[in-house]
Amino acid sequence: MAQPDKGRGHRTAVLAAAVALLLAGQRAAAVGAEKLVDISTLDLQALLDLPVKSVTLHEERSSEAAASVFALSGEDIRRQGFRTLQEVLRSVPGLFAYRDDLYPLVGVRGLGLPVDYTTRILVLVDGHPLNNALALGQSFFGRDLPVPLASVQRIEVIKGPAGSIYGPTAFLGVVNVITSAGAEADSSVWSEVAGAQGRALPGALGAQLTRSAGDLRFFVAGEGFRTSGNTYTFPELQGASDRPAPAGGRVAGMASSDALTGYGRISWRDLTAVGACNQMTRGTPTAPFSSNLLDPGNRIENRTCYAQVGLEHALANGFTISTRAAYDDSLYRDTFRYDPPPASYGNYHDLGRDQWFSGDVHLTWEPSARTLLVGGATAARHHTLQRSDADGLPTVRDDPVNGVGVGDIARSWNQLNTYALAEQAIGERLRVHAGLTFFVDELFGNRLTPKAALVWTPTRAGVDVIKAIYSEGFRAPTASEAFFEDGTDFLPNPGLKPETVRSLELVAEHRLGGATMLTLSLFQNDYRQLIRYVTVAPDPQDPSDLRERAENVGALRLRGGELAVNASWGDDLRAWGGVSAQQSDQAGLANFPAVTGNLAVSTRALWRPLTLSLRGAFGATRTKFVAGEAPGFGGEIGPFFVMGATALLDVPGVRGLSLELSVANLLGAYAPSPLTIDSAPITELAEPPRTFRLAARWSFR
Amino acid sequence: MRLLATVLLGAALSSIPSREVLPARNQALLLLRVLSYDRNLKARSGAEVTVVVAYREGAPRSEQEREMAAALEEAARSFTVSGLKARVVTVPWRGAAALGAELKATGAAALYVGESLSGETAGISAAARDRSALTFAPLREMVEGGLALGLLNANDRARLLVNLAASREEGADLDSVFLGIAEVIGRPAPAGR
Repeated sequence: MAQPDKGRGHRTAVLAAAVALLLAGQRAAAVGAEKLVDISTLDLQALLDLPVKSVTLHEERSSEAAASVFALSGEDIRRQGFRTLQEVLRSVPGLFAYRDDLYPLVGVRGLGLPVDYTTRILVLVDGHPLNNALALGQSFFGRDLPVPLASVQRIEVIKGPAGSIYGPTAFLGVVNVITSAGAEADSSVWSEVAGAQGRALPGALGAQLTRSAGDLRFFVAGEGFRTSGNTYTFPELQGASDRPAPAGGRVAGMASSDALTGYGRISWRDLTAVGACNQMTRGTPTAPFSSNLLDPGNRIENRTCYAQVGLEHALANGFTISTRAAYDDSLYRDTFRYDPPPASYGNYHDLGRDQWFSGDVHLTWEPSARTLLVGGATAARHHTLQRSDADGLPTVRDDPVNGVGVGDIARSWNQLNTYALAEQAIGERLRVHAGLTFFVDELFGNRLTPKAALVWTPTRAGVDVIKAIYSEGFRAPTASEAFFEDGTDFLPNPGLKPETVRSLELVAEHRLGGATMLTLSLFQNDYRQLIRYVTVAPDPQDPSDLRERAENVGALRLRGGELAVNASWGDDLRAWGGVSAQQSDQAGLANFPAVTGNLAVSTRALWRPLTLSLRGAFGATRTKFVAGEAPGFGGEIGPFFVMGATALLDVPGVRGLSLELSVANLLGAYAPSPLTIDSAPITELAEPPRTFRLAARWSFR
Repeated sequence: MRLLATVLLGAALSSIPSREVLPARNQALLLLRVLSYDRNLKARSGAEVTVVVAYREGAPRSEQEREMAAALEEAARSFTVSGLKARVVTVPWRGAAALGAELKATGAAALYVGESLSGETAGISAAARDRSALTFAPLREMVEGGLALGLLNANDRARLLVNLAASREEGADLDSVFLGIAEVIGRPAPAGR
């Protein structure tokens, strides 16, 4: 087992414990003699912002939260015509979108690692973590989210590590997707058709239904999606030496995708049961791993399902207890097709599955508005299975010389995450936050993760806020990085250590005229033991036998600043966006834009039933992945600028009916993302072309 | 696809209404904050600001009023309103006359009316106007029906709705700064029309 940095961990634990005791003592002394504050010190506009819950697992105003947090509402999503979580997140200041041939991905403050597959951003649905411990392939940012985006009430984004309460995976940030289920939203049905490149693409059909009877509440939502996909042109294919290439590098009909999503929630008083499932398949136009080009049999499949029962109960004197028991099942499967044996592998399959049981207990004690104490524990037992094989061929275990794949790789292990957090107001202007997590992983070692923050309101609450935040995060190696091998391309590395990050951030918020919030953040993130796939030659006798192996490849320091704006003037104008500039101490860091920016604007000022919206995202030049590893894989890709527009009409005279015309990639920008060597000789993948979407939604009660 | 078909069928056949309200914690802070914009508050209050929460006994939705009362009590432990301490009193609904008597007995400056009493707006409004208690409600239709202030959930953002005529009849004089932030309905007609 890895034992990362024990001495430092114990020192920080002692420090955090001392802070917690100090706060507890202050609270005890203050009981019965608490000074009342006049409510007029709270800014009314700040009170109109709904609270965020992701920072402390307890509702608080975002200006009070000890983190760089950004929230978008379901109405924001609707007005902008967003269809996927990636479309939402690329509008969040400091975040940017990229993708490979398998998944849409999201980078944070310049850091967009290759083959990340959402293993460094924790994705939650109503607080339930979706990320598996396997990470052979997952995203949640496309059509593979197990809840329809049309049923989302709010999305909260924490930028920066949040390991002190969530443990692993909350490494670059946290995305909490909050469904409409808790707010008794409207029932609705919706449908969508799309078209691009002069062709009609099938679209989506979905519905949600919410009902209540007495204390019983019921919410169910479902969506089906299908697209025949876009045509791509890869000029680099013309230089392919391993496979016959199509004329002009044109690949048509290989990017089709299907997805089916179902989400249900039933609650009775304090008791809630949730079930959710998503099944998605899609083609791979670049035919990665040198599989046959223009073969529709090259496909990946993801299935993410979970069931959860939870109880949240308010006890006396400000105590709240919540408990949860859940079962998750996450499946990845792919097929890549080659020429039939004996010339090649025929149909090659990879499979990864993580099934895990988890349970947690979470206690909140808020003896007054000035004090918050949070504690809890989450335990999980993972059962992972990985396999690679080819139809009708022996595995390497059966035939070390001619075998393909290694058969089943099974691992089962336990994780325990315990955390404590304290917030205390000192005087009328200052709040102190301290948190500590102790994470135990049976395979990858233990880790203490502290956090400390000060939130100072130098003027009236909610008008000006200064936050100073020190936080740490970590990411345990995934089971695929540590154990996956296929006998042909990948080698295991069970000796991997967890990645770590220490973050310092200074945030200044200022509310302009009530309705506009300006936020300036300065940050420094120190990453250690980052895991990346490295090409190695395992056999000294055969230097041409190159494999990929995950390795801890050292340190990285990022420094930067972010300026964000978030404005809301009733229905007339809603706008948010920002610019993030950052630098790395590593020259040529792959897929690292030194500047990213975005802006989303919508208005109903012209005519109340009509919402017009415009959004854009840009980023600076990036270095391609794995420069120098393969011919053509070096170099840079230029800056990108992608826009979208939406017109949304709430049809007058027909209550609840809305029609939407949306254009994604309005300018038809090329805007490529760098690809990994898996897609060689193709080194970059364009943004999907200009796509028109026509949608209708009918909401009713 | 079977799930989708079930959902669509259920959506088409079902007709039980549902509503959405702002979390009680938000409503409580907003209610106290809005009171501080009332230039007549001190004239309508005694030594403390009394907020009455009316509820219908035994109604399934009265849980919302209970949560609201608890949230108001919590807020009152931390905040004053225009320098006055706040006090929270819960009153079961036994008709407009009984409510009026309770408002008088408690010296109420504000009356919160929850979802369970959404069908009693007219009687509540009359009692509140008699006793100069500023009324608050969580639903738009209750404000459109004659109550003074709405603490609404508008697609995951809080929104304030003011029935200006009703608020004046209930004895409040709301600051123009507040009226610039809130959505205003029921403006009195200009003189001469």
